[in-house]
Amino acid sequence: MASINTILDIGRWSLHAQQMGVSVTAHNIANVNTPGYSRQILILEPAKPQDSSPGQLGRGVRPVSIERVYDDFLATQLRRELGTQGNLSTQASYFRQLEAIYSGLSDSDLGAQFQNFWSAWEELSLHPEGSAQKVALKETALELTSRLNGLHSKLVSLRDQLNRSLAISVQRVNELTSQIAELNLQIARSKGSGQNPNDLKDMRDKALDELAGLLNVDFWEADDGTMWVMGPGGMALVMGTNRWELEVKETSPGIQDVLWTDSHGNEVMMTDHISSGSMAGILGMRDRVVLREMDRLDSLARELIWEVNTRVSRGAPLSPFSSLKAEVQIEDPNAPLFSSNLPYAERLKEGTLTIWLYDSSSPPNPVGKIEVQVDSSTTLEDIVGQINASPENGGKLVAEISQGFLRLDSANGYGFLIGEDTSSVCAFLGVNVFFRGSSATDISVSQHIQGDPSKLGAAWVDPLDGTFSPGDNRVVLDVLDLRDSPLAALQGHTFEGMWASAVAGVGVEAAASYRTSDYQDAVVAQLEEQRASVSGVNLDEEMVKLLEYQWAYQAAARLIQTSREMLQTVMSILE
Amino acid sequence: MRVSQKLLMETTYRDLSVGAERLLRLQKMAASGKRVLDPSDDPLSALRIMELRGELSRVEPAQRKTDYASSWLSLTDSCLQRMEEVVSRAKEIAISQSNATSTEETRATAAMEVRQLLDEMIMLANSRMGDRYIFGGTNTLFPPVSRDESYHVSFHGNDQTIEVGIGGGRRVPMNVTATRTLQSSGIMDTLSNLLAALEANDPEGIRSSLHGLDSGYDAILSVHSEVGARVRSLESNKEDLGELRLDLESILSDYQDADMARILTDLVNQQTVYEAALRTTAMITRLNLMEFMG
Repeated sequence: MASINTILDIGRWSLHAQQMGVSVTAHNIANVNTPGYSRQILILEPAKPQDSSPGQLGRGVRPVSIERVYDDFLATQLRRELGTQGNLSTQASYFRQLEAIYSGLSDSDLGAQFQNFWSAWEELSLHPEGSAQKVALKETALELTSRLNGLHSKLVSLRDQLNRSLAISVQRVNELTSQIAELNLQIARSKGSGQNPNDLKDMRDKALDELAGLLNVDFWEADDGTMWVMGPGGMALVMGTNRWELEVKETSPGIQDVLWTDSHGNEVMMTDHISSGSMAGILGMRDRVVLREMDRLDSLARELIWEVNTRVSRGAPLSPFSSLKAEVQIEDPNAPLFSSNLPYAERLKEGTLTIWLYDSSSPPNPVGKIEVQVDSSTTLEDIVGQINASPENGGKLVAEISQGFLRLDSANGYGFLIGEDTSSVCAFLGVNVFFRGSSATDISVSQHIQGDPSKLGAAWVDPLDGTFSPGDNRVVLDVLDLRDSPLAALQGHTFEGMWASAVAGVGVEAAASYRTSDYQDAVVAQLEEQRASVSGVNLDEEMVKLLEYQWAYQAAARLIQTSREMLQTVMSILE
Repeated sequence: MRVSQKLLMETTYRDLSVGAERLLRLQKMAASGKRVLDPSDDPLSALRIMELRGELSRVEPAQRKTDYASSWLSLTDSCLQRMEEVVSRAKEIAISQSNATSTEETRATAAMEVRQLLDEMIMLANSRMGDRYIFGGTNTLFPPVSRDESYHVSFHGNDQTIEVGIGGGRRVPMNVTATRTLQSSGIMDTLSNLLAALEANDPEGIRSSLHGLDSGYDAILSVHSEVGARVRSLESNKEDLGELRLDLESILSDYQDADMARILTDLVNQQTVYEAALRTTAMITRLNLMEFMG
């Protein structure tokens, strides 16, 4: 038979349980906006009954545990999708930047600069004598080259930005793994003492979500409640309470790589194994898109410089030169030019360079020619020697090397012009050329033309008698032929075509990236909705629960009052 | 499905941001009047737009060059016309002064006229367009023809053609040279000889110049008819370029310009949708139990 004390005891447990229920509800309400929070519920059970006659008698309620409402399967699925989303959305945001840099459809993009450049040559073809046309050409060429320089440096800073993002991501990975390891410790400890560390698990799950958004990870929960995390390529990040740091290192100029250090202190390259998360997006963007575009601009500039220079180097202006200085510095004048590691050395051919000499009458008469033989063993000193020792020269033209630059100076009363050059050595050394440099970074108009645009030669020197005439525009027409010629080094594109296809190519990739990224956002959103539906707090629901617990609390209090009255009734019998 | 506060807020936030993004896009299109704002909007159209702009950028210089070549050739044409007249006149003189009725006096008067004709020929051969001698080949800065005191004519130009691109990858020779027109037929020498014969009162000499005058006239005429053909071809090229330009501009407009009527309708539509979203959000967020509990 139940004693009144038992009833009091039931009341006491009930008060305790309802109060606990209010606490849990209060915790839920308070965390309605906390990211990563899973709602918690109080699990109540009837207490172990007491055997009696006529049957087992209930002994009230017992709070068993406080559980969080959390779907592990959903979380695993979500983390996988978060990785993909991190990858795609990172790429999409960088594609937006790249598109803005290229701004291919604006009225002043590189394509428009190319058009102006060719139009200026067209103008010159009509007035090869004109110096105003040459000045205009120099100006449009400078705009074109500075646009190429600018585009390239913007790509470089985009690459650097990607490198910095990579370094910051790695730092974040380290912070997160350190959090997870720390939380593992606390969770294992409270599990060991029979506690249910709901909030700690929420925090750890939130850290795992973020980690999965950064790079591809595998994870599982061990029996002791600790979370084990494996990074890309099966390299461990967290095992129980141990963790491994990642670091970034510049492995080649402008390229940062991610390294993992094993327990023996050996560094292992992780970069190639990163296949998901925003770090994969960063690496993919840098290695597959930005570097490719940099190469593309470089080859555009490299071909433009060479093709224009080989055509312009044999150009004769209105009157012969009295002095020419090469644009390219040769460090060792006694080393063969063919095997030097200077740009365009591989394009030198065996051949002959012709230099014509003129007197100072008007118009100037050819008074001799110098032929310079170039082959694979020719050095800069050889060229100087051949010019100075040429039988028709006789001191009319003096070649010398000043600080590594070839200089040609004619004697008083004489002038000279560069004729045919089947060896391309003039374009290589930068003698009588239009452009200088060899890539998108350093392309510019040559010093020679910048100093005096009227020194740009539009005419060919006649290879038979050395005559030249001011109305001859054959150099210009030769350069203009370039506009429509597809070049093998540009994958069969013309200069403008190469640029248009670069812009359109980036456009196609960007469009695909935005589309897949939007789709992935929808996938993640749908999973997050599901999770929010399962684990999120509903205030109305909590309000109702609050009322339930409140009423039950009032009822339990009433129970205690009733049993007190019953006890008083019994006591009053004794009086 | 269980609806939690987080779910409600996230959905609302996403729907609103999608709506705002669409509005912004339409607004950008309306403001710029362009259908393709970034290459990624429509990469194939973007490529076509860039190609069309490239083609258009060639039309204007080609037009300008056609115009220039055409005025150069028109000037050449009128010079040649005048040269023909001069040679005809010289022939008339030669015929009239070679018969027996002419006297030493008439021949002396005729010699004065031929002297002027010869000077006019030289002046015509030294015609300039701007500061360029049109008959000098590529030697455009020096007079191609000169004479000495005794009316001996010498040539200084060359026989090179100046080519000019007139669009569509076509290049046409713009100039004809004094070498071809005057030097090869020896017409100037014929005229000098005629002058000398007139001065010397030598009917035989005058008669012998007739053949040279005929062949000189034919040489000028054949160059002239060639120039006429070139002028006509340039005129038709000018028309073609004008049409090409209109065509390219209209195709480009099809590719890049936005259909304003449609964009504005879409914009109004999207605005209504966005407003509706804002209104329902405001309505839903007010709905909760606490509003109804005392």
